[in-house]
Amino acid sequence: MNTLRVLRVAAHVGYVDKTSIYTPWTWIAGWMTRVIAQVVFFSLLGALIEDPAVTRFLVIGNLVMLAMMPTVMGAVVITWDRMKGVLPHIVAAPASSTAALAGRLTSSVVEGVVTALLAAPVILLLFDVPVRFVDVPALVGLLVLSAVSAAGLASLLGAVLLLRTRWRNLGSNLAVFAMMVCCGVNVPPEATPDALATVGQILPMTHGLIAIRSIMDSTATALGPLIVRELLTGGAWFVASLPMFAYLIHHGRATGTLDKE
Amino acid sequence: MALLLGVMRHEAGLMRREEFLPLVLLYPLAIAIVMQMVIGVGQRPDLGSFAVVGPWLVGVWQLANLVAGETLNKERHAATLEPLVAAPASTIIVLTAKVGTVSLVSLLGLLEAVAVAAAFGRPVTVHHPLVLLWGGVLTLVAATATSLVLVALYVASRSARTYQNSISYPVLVLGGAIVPVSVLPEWVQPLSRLIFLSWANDLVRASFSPGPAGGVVLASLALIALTLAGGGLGGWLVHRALRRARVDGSLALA
Amino acid sequence: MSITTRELRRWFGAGRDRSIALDGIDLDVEPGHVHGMLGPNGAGKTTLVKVLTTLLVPSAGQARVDGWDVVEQARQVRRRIGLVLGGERGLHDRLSARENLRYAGVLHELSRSEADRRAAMLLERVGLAERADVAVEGFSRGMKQRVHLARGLVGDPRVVFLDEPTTGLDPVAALAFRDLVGELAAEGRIVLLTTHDMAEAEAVCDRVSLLRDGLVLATETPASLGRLVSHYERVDATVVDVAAARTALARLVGADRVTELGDRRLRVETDTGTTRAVLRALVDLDVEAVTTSRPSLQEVYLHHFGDRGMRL
Repeated sequence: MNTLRVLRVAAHVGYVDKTSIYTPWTWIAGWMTRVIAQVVFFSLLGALIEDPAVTRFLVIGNLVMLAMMPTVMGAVVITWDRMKGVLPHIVAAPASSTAALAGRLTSSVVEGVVTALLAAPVILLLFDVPVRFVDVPALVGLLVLSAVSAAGLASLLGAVLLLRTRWRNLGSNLAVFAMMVCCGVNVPPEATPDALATVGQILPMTHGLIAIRSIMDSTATALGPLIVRELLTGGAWFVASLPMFAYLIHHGRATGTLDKE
Repeated sequence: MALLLGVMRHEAGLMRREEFLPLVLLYPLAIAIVMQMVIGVGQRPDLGSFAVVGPWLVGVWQLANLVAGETLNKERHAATLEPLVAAPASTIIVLTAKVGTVSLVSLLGLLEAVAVAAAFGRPVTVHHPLVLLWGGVLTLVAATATSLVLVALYVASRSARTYQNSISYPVLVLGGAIVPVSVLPEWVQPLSRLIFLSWANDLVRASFSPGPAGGVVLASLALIALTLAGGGLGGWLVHRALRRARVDGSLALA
Repeated sequence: MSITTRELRRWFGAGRDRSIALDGIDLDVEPGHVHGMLGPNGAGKTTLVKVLTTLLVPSAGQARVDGWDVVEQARQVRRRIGLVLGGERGLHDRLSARENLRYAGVLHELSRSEADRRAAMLLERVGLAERADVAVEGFSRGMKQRVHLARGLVGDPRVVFLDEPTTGLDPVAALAFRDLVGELAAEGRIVLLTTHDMAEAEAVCDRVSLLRDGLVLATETPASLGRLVSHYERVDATVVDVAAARTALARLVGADRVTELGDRRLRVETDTGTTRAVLRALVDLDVEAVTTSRPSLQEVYLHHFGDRGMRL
C-alpha cells in the first residue's frame, strides 16, 4: 500500500515539475500550437502525394503519436531526480525507489493523452476526418492503453538514462523517432521496410494504433488480440525496467555516485 | 577574417562536444525515412527530390530555431556572455560567425537525406550542380540571417523556450519546407513566401530537374532580399538587445 | 594610464523601487600597484567593475579607463582591459583550458598563431601547462580560477579587473593566486581587485578603498586604514578592581566605549583628545599593565559594517 502512496506522491511531483515549465497559457500557446502544427506538417504529405486516403492515414497515425510523445519524453522527467540531487534521498528512504522514480511517468501519460484529446477536434475538423460518436469511448480507451504501454518503454529508458543523464534528450528523442518510423504511424506496417517493421512489433503503440484505425475505418478486425498484444508489449518493457532500476541503485551505491549528475 | 575563422573553429569544437547535435540531426533522418515510405505507398517516385530537399530544410530550420537562436541565452547562462562583450571583437560579428557555423552543420542533414534516398532505391541525380551549389550557399546564408533575428527575439524574451516550441512546426508548415507552396491554402501562400524555406525548396529542387532548372532567378533574388532584410533586422535587434542589457544590467544572470 | 571616475552613479529600477548601487564615486587608480575595493555584499563593488569594463552603462557621471570613456569609447576600453570574474561558471566547460584561452585570443583580435602562443605562455605562467588539454569541467575550483586569470591576460591588458577572484578557494590556492596578482602590478599594469576578505586586502593591495552603499568612504594604504575609525586609538589595561575602573572610565569616555575582555582586562576606545586623560585615570586606579594600539583592518571593517544581522 505504501507503494501506491509513493506512486501518488511521485505523480504529484511530476505534475509540479511540469507546471513549473508551463503555465496554462504557455502550454496552449507553446505546446499545443506546436503539436497541432506537427500533425498538419506530416499530414500535408498526403496533399503532396495527391491521395486523400494517404492523408487520412497520416492524420490518424500522427494524432495518436501525439499521446506517445510526452509519455516517452517522461524518461527525461525521471532523470531530473538525479540532476537535482534528489536521488540519494530517494535511495536512502525505505520506500520503493523504483516506484518513486517510475511514478513520475503518471503525469507524462496524462499529459500525452490530454494533448491528443485536445488536438483531435482541431485536426479531425481541419482534415475532414469524421469520427462516430459511438466510437469515442473505445477510441479514448485504446489511446490511454497505448500511452500506458508507452510508459513501460519510458520506464526502461528512464532507468537507462539515469546512468547517463547527459544523453537524456538524445535517448528519449531517439525513442520517439523510432516509434514514428517503425510503428505504422505514417505508413502501414506491411509497407514499412522489414527491419523497421520488426522493431515496430516490439515497440508500444503499434497494435493499439491498428486497433484505433480499425474502429475509425469500420473494418472488422478482432480487437481483443490487439489489446492483449499492446498490454503485453508495454508490460514487458516495464518489467524489463525493474532490474535496470535495481542495477542503477546498486551501481550508484557501489561507486558512490548517487549524488553525481 | 581571422576573427570569423577563429570563432567558427571554436563553435565547431563546442558543437562536437554537445549532445544536442545528434539530436537535431535526428530530424532530417526521421523525416527522410518517413517521406520515402510515404512516396513508396503513394507510388510517386517522381517526388524523390522533395524527399531529399525537404528533410534537409527541416534540419536547417531546426538548427536555426533550436540551436542558433539559443546562442546568446546559452552564453548568458554559462556566464560567458560578459567576457564576450568585454572583449574588443565585435559581438555582432562573433555572433554571426557562431550562428553561421550552426547553419553549415545542417549540410550533414542533406547527406543523411541523400543516403536514405539511396537506401530506399531512389537515389537522386543532380542535373544542375552549379544550381545546387548556388542554392545551397544562398540557403545557408539566409538561414544565418534568420538565426540572427531569432537570437534577438529569444534573448529579449523570458519565454524563449515557449516561442521556440510554438514556432518550430508552424514555420515548417507555412514555409513550405517539405511541400510546395502551391499545396497550401491560397490565403497562406503570401505568408509562405516571406519565409526563406519556400524559396530554398524551389531553388535547390530545381537542381534535380531533368529539364531546365526553372525559377532560379526569382528564387535567388527572393533569398537575397530575405537575407538582407533578415540580416539587417537581426543585427540591429541584437545590437539593441545587447545595449539594453548593458543599461539594465542583464548581461549576466542575477 | 589610470582609472578615473567622477560622480559615478548607477541605479536600478525607478521611482520607489529604485535601488542605488553606486552613489557618486570619485576614484583615481594609478598604475604599478594593486588597488583593492573592499566592502560587504551589496556595497557596489561588482557594479563598479562592470561599469569600468563596459558591461554596464552608468546612470550618471563619468568613468575613463586609460583615458577612454567607458560608454562612448567602449571598444578602445575593451582593447586595454582584462576581466577576471571568477567562480564556477564563465568557462566553456567541455573545452580544454588551452581551447578556452585560444578562443579568448580570437576575441582579442589575435592571429591564430599569436593566440596559440599566448595561450601556451599563460598556461605555463599559471601552472596549468600539464593540464592544458584537459576539459575544464574536471578542474578544481582553484584550477578554474587560474584559467580565469589566464583568460583575463590573453590580450596583454594594461588594466586588469579581478572581481572577488579568490572566493571559494582554499587558503593554499588563494595564497598562490595572490602571488600571481602581485606580479601583475609589478609589471606596471593597473590592477583593480574587489574583495570582502580583509586578509586578502591587507596581503595583496597597496591601496584600499572602503566601499559602503555605493560610496567610497576612504582610500588609504591598508596600514593607514586604522586611522579611519575616526581618530580612534585604543587602550588595553589590566586592572585590580574591574568594577571601579569601569565606572571611572565610563564617566570619562562613555560606557559604550569600555569593554571587558576577561581576566581583569579592559579595553577603552579613545580618541586623541581623551587618551591622556584615560591613561591618567588608569594610573590612579592602580593598573597593572597598559598598552595602546590602533584597530586592525578587520576591526575597521566591522566597525563600519557591523553585524550584518545573521540569525540562526
